[in-house]
Amino acid sequence: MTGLEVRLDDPDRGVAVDLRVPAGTTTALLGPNGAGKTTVLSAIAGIHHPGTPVRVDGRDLTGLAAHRRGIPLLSQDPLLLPHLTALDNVAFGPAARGRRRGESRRVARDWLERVGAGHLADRPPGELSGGQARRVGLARALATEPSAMILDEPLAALDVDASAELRRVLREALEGVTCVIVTHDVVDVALLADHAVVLVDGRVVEDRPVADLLAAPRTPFAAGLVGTNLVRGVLTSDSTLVTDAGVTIAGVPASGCALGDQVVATFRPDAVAVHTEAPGGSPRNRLSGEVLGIEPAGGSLRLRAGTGAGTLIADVTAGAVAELGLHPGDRVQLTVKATAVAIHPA
Amino acid sequence: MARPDPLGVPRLALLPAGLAALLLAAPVLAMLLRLDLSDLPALLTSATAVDALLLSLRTAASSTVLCLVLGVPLALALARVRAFDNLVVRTLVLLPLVLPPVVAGIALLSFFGRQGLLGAHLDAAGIRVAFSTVAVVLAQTFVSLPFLVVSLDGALRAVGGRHEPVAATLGASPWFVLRRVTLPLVRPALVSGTVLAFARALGEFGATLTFAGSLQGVTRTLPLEIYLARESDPDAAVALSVLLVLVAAVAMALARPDLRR
Repeated sequence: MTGLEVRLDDPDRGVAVDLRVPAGTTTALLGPNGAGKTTVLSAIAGIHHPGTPVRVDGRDLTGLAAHRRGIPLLSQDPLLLPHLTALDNVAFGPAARGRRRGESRRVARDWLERVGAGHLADRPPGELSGGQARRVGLARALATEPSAMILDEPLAALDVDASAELRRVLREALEGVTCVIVTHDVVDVALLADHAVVLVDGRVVEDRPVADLLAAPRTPFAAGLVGTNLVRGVLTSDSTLVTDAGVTIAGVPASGCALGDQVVATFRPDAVAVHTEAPGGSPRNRLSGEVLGIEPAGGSLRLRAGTGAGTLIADVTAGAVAELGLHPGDRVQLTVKATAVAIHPA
Repeated sequence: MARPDPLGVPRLALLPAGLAALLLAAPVLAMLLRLDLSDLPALLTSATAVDALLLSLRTAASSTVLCLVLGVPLALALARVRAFDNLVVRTLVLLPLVLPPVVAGIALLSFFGRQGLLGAHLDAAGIRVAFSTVAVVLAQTFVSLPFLVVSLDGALRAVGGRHEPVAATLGASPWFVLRRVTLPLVRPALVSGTVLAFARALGEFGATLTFAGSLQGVTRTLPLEIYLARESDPDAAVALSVLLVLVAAVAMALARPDLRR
């Protein structure tokens, strides 16, 4: 097949990952810290684990040193060479591949223009902002005409404007390039990736088109990324699931859910109401829990509570938090209307 | 009321600081004062002086090149190759820094001398190393190599090894990475280490005398010439000493731009 294939098996680090990236598409590699994402990236680039089976567009790269693979790595710190100007940093790749100095620089200037950094050509890396340095790093990687490329949190630790701008540049520049991108930001997943792969403890737990993952996450990690609540369990009636801990959640099952199946229930944090006393009224899901934290989220506050169904999040107004006098450690009652809960096959 | 101590240095500590500076500067100053300017041209252009100076520059330059050729790879190995990064190798590399030069000379004789471990075989093949110009270069290299290696090793560790893998993913072979990434990153240490090695080679005395002897034009370098002249012609000894100070000072100034602030 064309595109990128990697079959990593590293028992020492407990990582066993099979990954396929169709040619010209971008796969987002997601997962908590320590899940093995960086191990996968360095195996693809050939920095570590050179024996890992890697194929790009049918070419077997297994056992090849990094410099013979042609898979550049762009990381959060683009690691520009401090003794070279931006232009010569970009010209580095072509020069390393034996192109003449003048030609390397011409190619480099071209790429700097394409990432909107043409005016930075003569600057040393020390005089570039974080966003500018990453653009130059991107141009440097693309100037090698890579068959595939890996990006390790390319947008992390940038301010909002700079990351939005760089994301737009990445989107255009990576069009048609086979890419693996590690990110912790759902916006990157939505705007840059075609497929999403979630790693947990060195194993792939989700591998799906991005649209599917965002619409119906199947794992707590993906749910947390999307900013939604997710409860796992077994479907015990045509509208309820029961978790391992015995908590019952009522919801609306999607077609294809059968009794006895493993399913997940998802509901948005703004569908969760927070009370300090058990409310009466219409049938709904009730969960008691303890406030773990309260953080700002957009125009409201996001409350995290530990419940019998795991950690759940609820969006509440600052006024409500003040009125109820909520603090971490307080007991709360969470309610969710059954109609706001979607149940999917796990 | 006492004024606050400047930058947290106790004012009492400034007294020994001044004494230390005086201890370092006064002897050199005294030597400069003894210099007889009228005789200077004659003293510096005598056949023995010129021979010694040229030999010193030639051998110190050769041993500096040898230090670079051998020392850069050794520093790379110490900093980046796990097998080299251990106490035994480290101690061996540092040993010449603390060894009395005369001991270094005896060690070199034990290895390269006519009855030495390697020297005996070389002698059988008609090659004699000890008491030749080659011996001077070997002695100088032996004592100055650690200066370059220590300086470079520290710099390599300080810059870390993060740029190299990224450069490799851009298609740069290990040699290309060494020339275009690693060495440029440690350039300041490379320059200062090279100059320190050159200065140390230029000043080498004990190991040279023991291992190479003192033959005019062949092994009698400037320090040896100065030592000999000290008895026969003290004025010439001072003149040559000042010359050596000048060469060393120029080398230092070139190597340490931070000293020229």
